[in-house]
Order: sequence, then structure tokens, then C-alpha cells
Amino acid sequence: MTAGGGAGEPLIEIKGLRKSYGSVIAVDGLNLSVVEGEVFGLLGPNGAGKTTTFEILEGSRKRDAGSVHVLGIDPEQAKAGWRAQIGVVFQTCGLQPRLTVEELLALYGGFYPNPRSTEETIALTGLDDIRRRRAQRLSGGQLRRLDVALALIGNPRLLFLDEPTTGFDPSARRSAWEMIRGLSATGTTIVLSTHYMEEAQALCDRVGILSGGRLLAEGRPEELVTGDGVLTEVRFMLVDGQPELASLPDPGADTWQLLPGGARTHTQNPLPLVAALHEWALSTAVEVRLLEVAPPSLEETYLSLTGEGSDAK
Amino acid sequence: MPNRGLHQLRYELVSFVRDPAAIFFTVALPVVMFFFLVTIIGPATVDLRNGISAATYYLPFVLTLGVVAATFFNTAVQVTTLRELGVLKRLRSTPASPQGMVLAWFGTSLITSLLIVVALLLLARLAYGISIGAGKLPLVFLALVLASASFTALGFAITRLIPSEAAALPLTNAVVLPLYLCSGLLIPTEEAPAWVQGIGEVFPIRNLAEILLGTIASHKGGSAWVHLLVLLAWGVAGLVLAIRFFRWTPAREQASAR
Repeated sequence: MTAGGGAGEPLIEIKGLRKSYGSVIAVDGLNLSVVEGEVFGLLGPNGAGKTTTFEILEGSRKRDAGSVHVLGIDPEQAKAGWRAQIGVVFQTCGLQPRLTVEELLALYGGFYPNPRSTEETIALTGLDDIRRRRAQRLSGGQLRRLDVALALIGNPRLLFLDEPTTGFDPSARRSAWEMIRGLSATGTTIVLSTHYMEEAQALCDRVGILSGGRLLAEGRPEELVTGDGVLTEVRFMLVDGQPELASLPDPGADTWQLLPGGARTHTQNPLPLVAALHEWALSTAVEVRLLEVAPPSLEETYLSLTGEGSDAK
Repeated sequence: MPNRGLHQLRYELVSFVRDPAAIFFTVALPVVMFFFLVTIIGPATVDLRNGISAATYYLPFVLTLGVVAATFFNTAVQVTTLRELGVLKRLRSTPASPQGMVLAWFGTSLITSLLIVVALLLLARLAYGISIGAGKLPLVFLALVLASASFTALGFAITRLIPSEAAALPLTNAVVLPLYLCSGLLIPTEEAPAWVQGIGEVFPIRNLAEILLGTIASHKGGSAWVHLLVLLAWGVAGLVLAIRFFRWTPAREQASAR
């Protein structure tokens, strides 16, 4: 259960959480717990209730029903001492435009009883070359790094990252992942939300898939992708010509689909199918140029659960 | 708490000095206005107040204008902007205390007010030979402290009525301009209808102007203590309203939360 490992005690416990905005239900009976030391990812489409859940956990929004405990305290009753243990990266949140990176870190660091040093924070988030630049002159990616830096300056025990890498280019995303792994290694408990399945797969000990305010699935990424009904894709290309679909071995769960110069299908049991495919190639004397066996990804699980992109298969 | 306030004050001031528009509107504009008002009216005396010079007559009013701009106006516009940017929401997620933030803004208001007053008094002294007796400086200072606190509290309170960053400037102007007129800051109201004067007397702007007029023009316009009490009452009302109704999150996020 506690994939975070070690003697994890629950830092976050949510039971029966509900929140609606007028007639729109944002969170609909959510149950969730996050243990000390783990990286928990909340996945879901826009409007799934991720940000509302985050804001309730951070104490910046009131709930309608249910019980919520974060670090043992109801966030609605939270005081400064509780806030000092929490770092928050909001999805969108501005800064004093005329202050520099260094000044902002000094300003926000001054609010905490036991802050991380400005130098360490700058090094962690890679802000060194722009430390004297004003917030108003930073690019989107730089601002996001500064958001993270300001969430880290208080040396938090629990860190909330609401879509921390949205708008990052691939290399910036990789370095953000390194940073998150590094923080996790020092024992910081991290709750993040993301649109990127590969990000969740790369970073999270456990993920929860949220849609319409409900938790559709919860577990380790590898548990979720090997669950029932999740299929492996098998695809091949020929050096020359088109395969005759009728002659191909039966994949079981799916049928073969013709591709230009090849074919693909899905199967529950890839190894026998690949063996049968090998037999087929020998017996029909065709030359296979490319054979791909793609493991099921979290993305496919996600798409099939949230009912988005039902044409994905 | 006071330490946290000082800590924030330092960065509020850094932000302020890096904002040329704010400096112009709060510090330079009253000085320019004073110069032009006195130049246009010329050496004529103002009969309404026992034949004092135009400069003597207008100095307390321009001082009041500057103080209101530096305190009420500046607080309302800047705090709304910070709210809409999401800065207040971010501050709320930290252990920073609301009291510290209010103290920092009060400090900013007071320091900018003092700057304006010193600049105007110097100009009045050097260019027009008007001076305040040293004995009256404590009263001027007391009035400034009280007015800065009250107008800052009112500035915080009014942010709740301002729906967006774009609305901050026009809406604050819409509140302040009629009051400037009813308070006689731009045109004397001594011969205006009673209701106009009545509005002036109720609101804090005229009360601050009366205190300053009393110290500069030796005008006997009621006891300074009464005016100070009116300022105090408005400040307390502003503070109570601000505590009760203040919002930390941008308006666009409040709409979805309704």
C-alpha cells in the first residue's frame, strides 16, 4: 500500500471530500491518503477537480463536505506554523513585478522560521544566471522555476506542485524531474498534478486518476498499466509489399489492422503472438524490417479510464 | 509581527521606487499642481479666508491631495493589482501574517506622505515664503500618521468593491474626485450649498485639509481634535470593513467559486 516505502505515516487523509460551484460538482466524494516521503501524482483532464482538491488541501479554499487532514490538521483551521511546513506551487500565481529573483527569495524566505538558504534554493532550481533579473522580465519557464523556488524557500515537509512543468521545453522538463527526484530523496513528501503521463510514470510512487471529481483508479503506475483489460501493442513492417491480414496469427483480444507496409494489433499475451508471427514470416517467406512490442503506457490506461480519445485503440 | 512588517515594508519601498508612474502620480504631481495653481491665481489674495495669499490658501489643500493619493489611492490601486496578479494568494499560502502586510502598507503610505509633505513645504518656503511655525509641526506630524493609517485602511477596504485590475484606477478616481470637489480641494466651497459642505465635513478628506489649513493659515476652523477624531473613526471603520470583507484571490477565481 505505502509505495513510498519506509515507515510512512499519512500526511494527507481525505475522506468523502465534496465541493461544488453552484450546480457544477468539482469534487464528488473523494477518498485519498498520501504517506510521508512519497511522490503522489494526481492525473486527470481539465476540469477533473485537481486544482480544487489542491486548493482545499493547501487551505486556500473551503470544502462543502467530508474530512480533510493535512499534517494532522484541518487546512481550514490552519495557522502560520502549519503554513511554514508547506510549500505551494499554484497553477497560475503572479509575483511582485519589480523585484528581482534574489529579492523575492529574500522576501519570501523571511516569512519562514527555518528557511532554506537563498543560495541553496537558487542552485536547486537553476536560477543562478537570472538571479538579478526582475520578475517582470522573466520568461514563462523561468517564472515557473521561480514559483518552485519560492515554494522551496521555506524548507517544506510537504510540497504541492500544481502542473509544475506546464509550458516547459523537453530539456527544462528533464531538469525539473531531476530536481523533484532530488527533493524526494531528501525526504520531502510531494503531491503533484500533471497532464503528462510520462511525467507521472517517471516521478510518482503512486498516482490517482481523477475525472469528474471522482477517483477512477489509484496505485503505482506499473500496477495501473498492468491491470485487467490493458493490452500490449504489437506492430511490424515488411521490407516489401503488404501482409495478407487473413494469414496472420490470431492475436486474441483484437484484430489486425493494416498499416502502409505493415500491420498492428493489440494482445493480452504478447510473447506467444510474437512467436506465432515469427512462424508466419518463415512460412510465408516475407522479410520483416521492424518489429515493435510496445508495453501498455499509463497514457492508455488514463485514456481508457477517463473515456477520452476512445479511438486510441 | 512588527519585524515581519518592516521586512515587507523594505520590499514594498523597493517596488515603489522602481515604479516611475507611481512616483510621478504620488510625489511629483502634487508639486506640479501646487506650482500651477499658485501661478494661475497669481499674487491675488483669497478673500474667503481673511485675505490670505493664494499660495497659503492652496498649500494645505494640495498637501491633502498628495496625502490622499499616496495613501488611499495608492493602496487601493496597488493592493488590487497584487490581488489580481495572484501575489496576495501566494502570500496567503505562506506563514506571512496579514497584520505584517497591513503594517508594511501603512509604512509605505506614511513614508510617501512624508516625502510629499516635505517636498511641498520646501517649495512653499523657498518659492513663496510660507512657513509653518515649529510649534505646529507635531500636530502636522500627528495628523499625517493618523491620516496615513486611516486612508490605508480605507484603501484596503475598497479593494473588495474593485472587480479587476483595469477597474482599479477609474473606480478609485470615481470615489475620490467628487470628494475632492465637495471638500474644497480644487475650488473653494465656502459659498457652496450647505449639502456640498456637509458632504465635505462628513468625509475624512476635508477633515485632514482643515487640520492643515489651521496650522498653515492660522484658520480657526473648529478644533483640530474634532478633525482628528473624524479621521480616526473613518480609519477604524475602514479597518473593520477590510478585516470582514477582504479578499485574497483574484476576481476570476472568485467567480468560479461562487
